[in-house]
Amino acid sequence: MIPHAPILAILLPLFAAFLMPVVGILARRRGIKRAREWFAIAAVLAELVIVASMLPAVVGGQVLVYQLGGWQPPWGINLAIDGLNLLVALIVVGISALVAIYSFVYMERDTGLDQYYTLFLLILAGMMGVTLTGDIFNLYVFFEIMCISSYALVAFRRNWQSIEASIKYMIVSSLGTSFILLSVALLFGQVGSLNIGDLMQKFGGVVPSTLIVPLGLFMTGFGIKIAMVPLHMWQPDAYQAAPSAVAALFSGATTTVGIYAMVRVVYMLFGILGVGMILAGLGLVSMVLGAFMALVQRDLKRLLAYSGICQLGYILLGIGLGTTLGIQGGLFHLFNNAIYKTMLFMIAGTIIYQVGTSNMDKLGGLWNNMPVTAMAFMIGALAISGVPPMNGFASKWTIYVAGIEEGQYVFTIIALVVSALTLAYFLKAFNSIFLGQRPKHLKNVKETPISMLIPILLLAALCLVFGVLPHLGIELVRPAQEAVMNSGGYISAVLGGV
Amino acid sequence: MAGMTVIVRTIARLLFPFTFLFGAYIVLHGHLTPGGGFPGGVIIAASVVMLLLAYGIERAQKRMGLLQAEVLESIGGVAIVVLGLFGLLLGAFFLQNVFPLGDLGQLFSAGNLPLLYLGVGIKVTAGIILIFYAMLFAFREEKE
Repeated sequence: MIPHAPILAILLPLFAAFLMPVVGILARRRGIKRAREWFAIAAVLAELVIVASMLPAVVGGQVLVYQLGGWQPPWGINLAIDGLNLLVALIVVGISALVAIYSFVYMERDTGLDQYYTLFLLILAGMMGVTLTGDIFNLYVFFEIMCISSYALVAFRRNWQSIEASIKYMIVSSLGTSFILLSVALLFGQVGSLNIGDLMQKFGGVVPSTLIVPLGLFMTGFGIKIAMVPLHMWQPDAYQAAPSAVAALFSGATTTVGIYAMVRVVYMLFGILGVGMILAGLGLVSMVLGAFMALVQRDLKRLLAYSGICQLGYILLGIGLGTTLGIQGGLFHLFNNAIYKTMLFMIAGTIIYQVGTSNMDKLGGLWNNMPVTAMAFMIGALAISGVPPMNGFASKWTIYVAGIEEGQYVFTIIALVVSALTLAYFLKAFNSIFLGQRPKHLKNVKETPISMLIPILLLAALCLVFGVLPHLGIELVRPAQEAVMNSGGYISAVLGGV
Repeated sequence: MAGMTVIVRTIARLLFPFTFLFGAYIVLHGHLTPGGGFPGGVIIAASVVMLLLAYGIERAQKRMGLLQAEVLESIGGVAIVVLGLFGLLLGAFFLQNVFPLGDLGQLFSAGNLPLLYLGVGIKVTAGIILIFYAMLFAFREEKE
């Protein structure tokens, strides 16, 4: 492990974000081309190295505890990294690195790239903070950093549609974060601690009925961020209006962080209240509604946004079931979802980049123009619908089996039917974009530029690898699943001898 | 923005150094008296905004342009992180104090705290002026 790796993982993007405006000004003065892009890519890759350096210790079963300022955990702020934190951190940094590479060409036609990359690195700092911290108030602060950067990123193009979406998102989401703050205050009042490990330990001695209000507030707050039905209304607008690189980052990384917060705080902290079934139920509702809403969409990005809500349902269902297999399936699906959802949004971005629209009524017959992109879209569509031999099949199958083992046949049947619906709306999308009659003016559309194709093909390859060799994925999420089920180990690692 | 009458201009001009000085005092005595980087930075920014209202945007921009504000904001942010990294490299923890503590109540005391307040003060000043400019320019764009 690189010394001080946990704190450096948060500081590096923060530092780079503050430096970015200076880099932009210097680059303009000296006439250096693409300085901002290279700087952002270098920062994210360095971040990847830092996070990866923590991997051996955590996979070996250790919980890394980093005390800020040397204060003992129940009183001071600490960063605590177990398998779950590290899995999420790896997903976040990996997706961010790919999105940074993708933005290199995708964002070249936009002005104000100083601000874009500053916000990009700032949202990365916020996400790493939420992921790595072991203190619930600190988690709120980083969550707020993440949310505020994302409002600005949604409004980045500054047209009427994106500003409307951003304001809608801002109002709904600030309501959610204020719920989280209120809930943190209530918990501190009742339990007298802000440290997550300490809270877990002290929850045994609190009357459960007093915890219902904080639980509801946390669930609503994090539910808004991950766009769980019925709190999803901001998401399709925001994803449609944001630049596709941003939408890819949100769907792959930010949602993953939101689900992490949901698991760490709602599921692990309030586990004694039996929240598993509530999460599974909400997951089922999200699944069904997301699928039906996606069926009727005419815009590719809106369709992908609704399908994101649908896939979120599977993750919540798997984790809500609470068995070893269920949690493994849920976390594996979280990992897979980040891969193919990011890829599909990137493909939507390339179509917008080359054609200028993502309205499926105005597209068609692009198979001949962009065969590689079409293949990648097909792989992504099959993976998200859970068709073997793609990675989506492996994780969805694990969730189905977990449902049957628990005796919840109805859950499994609903999940299967929704998978079929997913296949239906993705085939519809594939058909209307890449097959069928090609409008005359699309005759000269070219294949995606190579530097945008690299991240897409990398993700497509991952879809195939984890589909053919699913045990690799299961091995990858096993430390995270063990961390979710073993909160005692987390408590004793954080609190030590205190 | 065209500026205001001669009365407002004169008073603004007379008040500006004192307001600025008061803001700087609040920032520099952050570790000794109530206040600190944020309130001090807001006061300094308010003094510039006052000039801007009285004299119009061109004169104010001469004192503090958009580019200067942007650079200053970055410098303020970077200063805080660098100070923190000093603690990490020379001490053991992020933001740990590595400077001599000095005597209680003296201006040059309390280790890295005054420097941190200075960083916060610069960042807040530049940030608030930038927000003000951003709102001005947003309206100006619409008019054209």
